[in-house]
Amino acid sequence: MILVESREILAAVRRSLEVNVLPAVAEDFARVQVIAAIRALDEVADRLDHGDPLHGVNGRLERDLGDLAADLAETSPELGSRVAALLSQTAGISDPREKYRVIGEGVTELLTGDEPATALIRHVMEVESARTSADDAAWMCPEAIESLQ
Amino acid sequence: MPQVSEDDSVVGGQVPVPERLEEYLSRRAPALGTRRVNAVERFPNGLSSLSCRVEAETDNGPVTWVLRAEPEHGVIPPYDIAAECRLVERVGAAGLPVPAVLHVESDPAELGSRFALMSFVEGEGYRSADPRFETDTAIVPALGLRFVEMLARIHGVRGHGLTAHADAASAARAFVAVCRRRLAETEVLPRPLIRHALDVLDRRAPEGDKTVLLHGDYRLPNLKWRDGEIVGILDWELARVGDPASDLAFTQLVGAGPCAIEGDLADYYVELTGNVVDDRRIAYYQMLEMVKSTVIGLAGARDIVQGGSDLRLLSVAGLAASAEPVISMLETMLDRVEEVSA
Repeated sequence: MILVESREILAAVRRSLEVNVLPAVAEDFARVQVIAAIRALDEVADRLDHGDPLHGVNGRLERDLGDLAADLAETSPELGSRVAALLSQTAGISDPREKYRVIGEGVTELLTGDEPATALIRHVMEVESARTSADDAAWMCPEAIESLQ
Repeated sequence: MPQVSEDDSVVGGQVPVPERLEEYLSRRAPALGTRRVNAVERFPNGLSSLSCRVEAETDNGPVTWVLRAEPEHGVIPPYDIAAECRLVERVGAAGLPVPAVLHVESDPAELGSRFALMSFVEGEGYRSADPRFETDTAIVPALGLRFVEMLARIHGVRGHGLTAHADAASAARAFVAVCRRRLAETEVLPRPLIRHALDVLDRRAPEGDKTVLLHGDYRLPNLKWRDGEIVGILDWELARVGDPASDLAFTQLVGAGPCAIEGDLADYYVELTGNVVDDRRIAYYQMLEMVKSTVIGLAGARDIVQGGSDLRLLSVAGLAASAEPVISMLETMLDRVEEVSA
């Protein structure tokens, strides 16, 4: 419906689920589905406002891996140049999902080596994983997790 | 016999309508003597297989059954409900309390997916963080003892029919391969830290001669209780053969609850079974069990992408992804334990 913006439609759907549907649903499994749907709509609305969160993830990974490549240039030059090569591969990719895919596959390859310095690459990934998890927690539906117990 | 139109056809992974199930049972399972199926309701808990409570009237009176069906996509592929039922029957024949398998349908064309009909075990269930544990603190120690005793009995089952392995390390590596394949088949975005963890687990599987039947998901919500005794062990889809420490490690971390088998309960387990439970094994299997659960959880994202409709899986996948730092921490703990052992 062309008259209304996407986020306004989402907001209306969310209100309807909350006000019209949820109170009328008695069955436990269905209730959790409605609650999870409301939470998912909130996440989509946030993406409409702020874009794909992978933009931020990719940006931080490129920055931190770039810093690491510079540090490794002296201590582990071969590994450092492999990290730099990976980053040059991702530089021209605009789609955030594709860029993350390339970074992920590239880092997997880097981590298969047995150089002690690979621990530094792991550390970069661990820091980002912890940060992403913390951000993602906002969209977690506690009722969904609780229902599995 | 009820009239069922083509419009009543069942979509795979969805709860079958009573009339359709009634027609099916009359035709394909006459020995059950089904006269009428009154209700089919999905159990709200559970993540993988679709489990429903079936209320029916039979030649012998009213009954309650459990219908357990393979999901359309699911988080623990590949599914094989018939193999799971064979295991349940063998475990039951060994004297353990499990639901009776009443009927298995291996043709997905019949009701939309392969499924089994099992007896409903009457009994009480506890959640891992059950509020009753706070009001009745005396209950926990007793549950803990029964919990350990039953795991010891599971680990003592022979003739379970599952694939055997030469030793515990081979079993662990075989299971790492299973996790690796599941990850490869379900990964929506690459997870380098999980792939790395699988490499670590592959390289560092502890040696050991003893392998046993592992339940693989041994936690309070998968047990039914009556008068303080376990009367039903449910959900065998993650069962496998491996080092007994794996089930113990699962109870300590992934399946953690008041019955975590550590300290005195671990000593009691060793007393009952004679199985070796050392820090090295526990550290390794805590990491393996965490990776296993993470891979299963991450598959929730694939399920959604492929057309799944259970929106809980969005949160499950998010929670699984958040386990990566924990897995890294477990690797560090494994490093430390190995250093001390060396």
